[in-house]
Amino acid sequence: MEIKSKVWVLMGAGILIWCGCDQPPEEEWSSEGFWYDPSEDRRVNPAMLFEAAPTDIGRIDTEASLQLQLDGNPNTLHPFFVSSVNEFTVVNAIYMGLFVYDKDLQWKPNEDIVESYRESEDHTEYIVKIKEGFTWHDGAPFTAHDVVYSWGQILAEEVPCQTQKPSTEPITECTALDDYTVRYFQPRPLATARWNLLFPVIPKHLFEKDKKNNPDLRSGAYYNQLSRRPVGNGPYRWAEGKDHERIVLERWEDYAGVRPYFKYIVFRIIPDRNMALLLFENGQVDVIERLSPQQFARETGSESFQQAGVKGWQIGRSYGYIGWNMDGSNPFFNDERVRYAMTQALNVPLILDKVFYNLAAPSAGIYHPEMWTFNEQVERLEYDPEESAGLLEEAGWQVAGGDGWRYKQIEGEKVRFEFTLLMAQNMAGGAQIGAIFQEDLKKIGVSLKTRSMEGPTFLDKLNHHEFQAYLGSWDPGVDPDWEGSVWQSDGYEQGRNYMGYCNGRVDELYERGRREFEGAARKEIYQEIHKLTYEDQPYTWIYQAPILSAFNKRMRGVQFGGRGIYGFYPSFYQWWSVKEN
Amino acid sequence: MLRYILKRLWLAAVTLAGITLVTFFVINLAPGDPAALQRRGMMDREMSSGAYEQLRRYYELDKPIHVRYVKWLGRLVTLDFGESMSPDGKEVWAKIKERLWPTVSLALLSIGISLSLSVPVGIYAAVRYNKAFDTLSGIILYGLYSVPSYVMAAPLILLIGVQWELLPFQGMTSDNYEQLTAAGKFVDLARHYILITFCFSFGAWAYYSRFVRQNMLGVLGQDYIRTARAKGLSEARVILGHGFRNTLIAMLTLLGLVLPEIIGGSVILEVMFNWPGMGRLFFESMQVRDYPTIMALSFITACLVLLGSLLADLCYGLVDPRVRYD
Repeated sequence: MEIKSKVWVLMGAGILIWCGCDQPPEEEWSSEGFWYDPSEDRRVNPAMLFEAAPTDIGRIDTEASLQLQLDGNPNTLHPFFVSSVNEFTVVNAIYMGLFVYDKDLQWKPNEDIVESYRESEDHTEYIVKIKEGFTWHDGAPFTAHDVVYSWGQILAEEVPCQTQKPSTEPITECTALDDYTVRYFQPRPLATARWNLLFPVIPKHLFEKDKKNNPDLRSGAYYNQLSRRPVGNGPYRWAEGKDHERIVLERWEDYAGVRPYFKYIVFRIIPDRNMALLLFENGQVDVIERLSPQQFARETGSESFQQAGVKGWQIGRSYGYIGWNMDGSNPFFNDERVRYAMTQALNVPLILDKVFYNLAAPSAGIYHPEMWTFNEQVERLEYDPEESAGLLEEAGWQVAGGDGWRYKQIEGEKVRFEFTLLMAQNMAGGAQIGAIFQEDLKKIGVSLKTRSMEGPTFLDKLNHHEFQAYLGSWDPGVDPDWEGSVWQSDGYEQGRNYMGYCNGRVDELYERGRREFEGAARKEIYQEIHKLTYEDQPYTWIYQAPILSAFNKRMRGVQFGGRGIYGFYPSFYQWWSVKEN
Repeated sequence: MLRYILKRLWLAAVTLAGITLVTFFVINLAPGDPAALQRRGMMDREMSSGAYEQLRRYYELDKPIHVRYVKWLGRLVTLDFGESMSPDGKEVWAKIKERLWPTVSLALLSIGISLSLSVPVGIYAAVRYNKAFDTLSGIILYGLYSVPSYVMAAPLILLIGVQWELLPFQGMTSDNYEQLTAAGKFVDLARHYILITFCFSFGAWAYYSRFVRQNMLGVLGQDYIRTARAKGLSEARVILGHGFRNTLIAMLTLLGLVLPEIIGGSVILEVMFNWPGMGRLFFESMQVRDYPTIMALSFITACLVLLGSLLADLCYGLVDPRVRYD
């Protein structure tokens, strides 16, 4: 890319920050006159990127540093209080728990640490034997008492680690049978129970020291220090750090499990994506986890990028959608025909081209095609404005009055089909999707207004159901049950069922899914949920979002996980770098 | 004088109480709830209703707003800003403290550079009124004034930082900072300050210099300047001793207003240069509705506004003998 165009990109970034949002300006999202086909780009997903580590260790640079970009500062490295993906990524390298997610986001015991795992036949008792010889980074042994202590502290009311509590609450007993054996007991046998065992473990001998003075385990100088310079048990230990600039982790050579290939991991905190790309081209960053579609398609053609690295592209599990308020507060969306009409009016192929540069895929409901819960029988509704207009006619919304808009007589009053689409300011591509939908609806006589607002206000509106339609995105969660509060009717009051969606069969299926242990039967349940929710169209599903990364060309051993390149085990533990001669 | 100061301090305290009251109610009544914003946990497990209510109790969000305000005010007496409502739960003062030096040092450097450059240029432009220097400096400085800082930052980063690799443009220090000698550390820090300080300050150059020029022009036309010249004083003494001293009154008002800017920071430049400043802290706190941090920042800014105004008023007496504090 020429220096001139880079200047424009950076200026654009400046304007964006000024506007308080982190998406490129509208004109930069538009791919007018530009066609990008990732399958023809030879720098996308080259085979060498995925090459597994060779048995000949001489080819691997075991003294190398891996420089990863984080787009925000990890404010805490206390595993109880991590709340952002950035914090989670760093903490995962320092602490190692008894259970992990693999790349397909399947739960499994951590083979590095767990010697044996046994689950009772009635699925209420779990016995885990920890391998002896594992220690914390200060040399103290890692034992069952650490696990029991952590469980107790997470549940303690005075420790406000609320995001950890839901996993741990159903366990009523967590005891140490001996120094290396933990017994968990959960009175209700649930298919989702295994996830409850997956909570962070902290070193008891360090954290109990100042509990009397600071019962919340995070206040005071002592805990602040532990949160900034954590003492973990994972394959990397904290080496140095400077807030808002970098965190350096060093491979812990005494780690008793499988040791990673990189000697150092340098997390570079670079909040601006455009700066991250510049630093990548300069060799100061080896991996950028999330590029924007604009960057991926248009800003990686420079010679400096080609010399620096390659690109990783995968279709993620998260999807973008429009949610319809069906609680009766508006005269439109309780009618299923209207919701179908809306879905068929939206020009999804145009969105995929203009907004996502053909890097996203059309979405067909709550599950990604590669998930075990995906139902092949779900037929995606195609863009069909004529069918859409017909459905609106059928629902009583007629073009009348000569102004081209649709009206309907409701309780003696002539109501125009006009509604507002809410969206958060930082919704990537939101403004463009809104504009495309506006044009689509205009063609069939429906008037759409879009309104974007800052994140917390947007969420507040959703929680109070103060919207007609909204643009959002979800990730279906690691276990399909976790999305229950979106689709079950009781999620309207307390959960994430902002739309007021209600389907008795779906409610029943979720309940059954929690108690079904047999794999095939459970699969059937969620596949039926997939089908039912798609048939009801409480959402108009638009796209499966892409995960777009950049890797230095010396990087090898990369795997794409269910949620990108981080957030699963082993992720960067198995990455390696080619030794240069 | 003492009576005047006490009276002003009393008025400032009342004003401050009013500002904090309004700010507290406005931010607490704005849509968004810090506990609700934390409901979605890692890997998307949602916080249970019980845990959510527990968190609200922990933050005392279940208490009426006036009760919370009185408690906040009570803590403030001991300068305790409380704990942040973001998940890290750090003490607010600790959060502010880690951003204070990068912001204040940058602002002071920027103001210092701006004044030391603008004042002489402004004075000389007034002396050379309508001459080549006046016109040329006006064109250049107005040209700079019209360029937004982030627009200036982009080519500077690309050319000086990336293309020519002359100066660093991310963060405050290099990776090897800890291994450097004291002199090396100083040089490293200075190199990191150059680009951002320039971008932070160049917009003010035109503002200050035109301000000084305009005031000087007004003063130089006064009778006492003519008298000074008639007395046979040197031109330098006339300009600096009689002319510039009288423009200081207006300058003090301006500097009084600049004081709060010292901790204001700039979100755009801080993000572009990855500078850990207060602008970003304020922005991030708003994003998570971190009420204690927002209140602390608002309180400190209000204090600086009032302090700036008081200091400017007191300094008038130093530069203008006619001012009395009765």
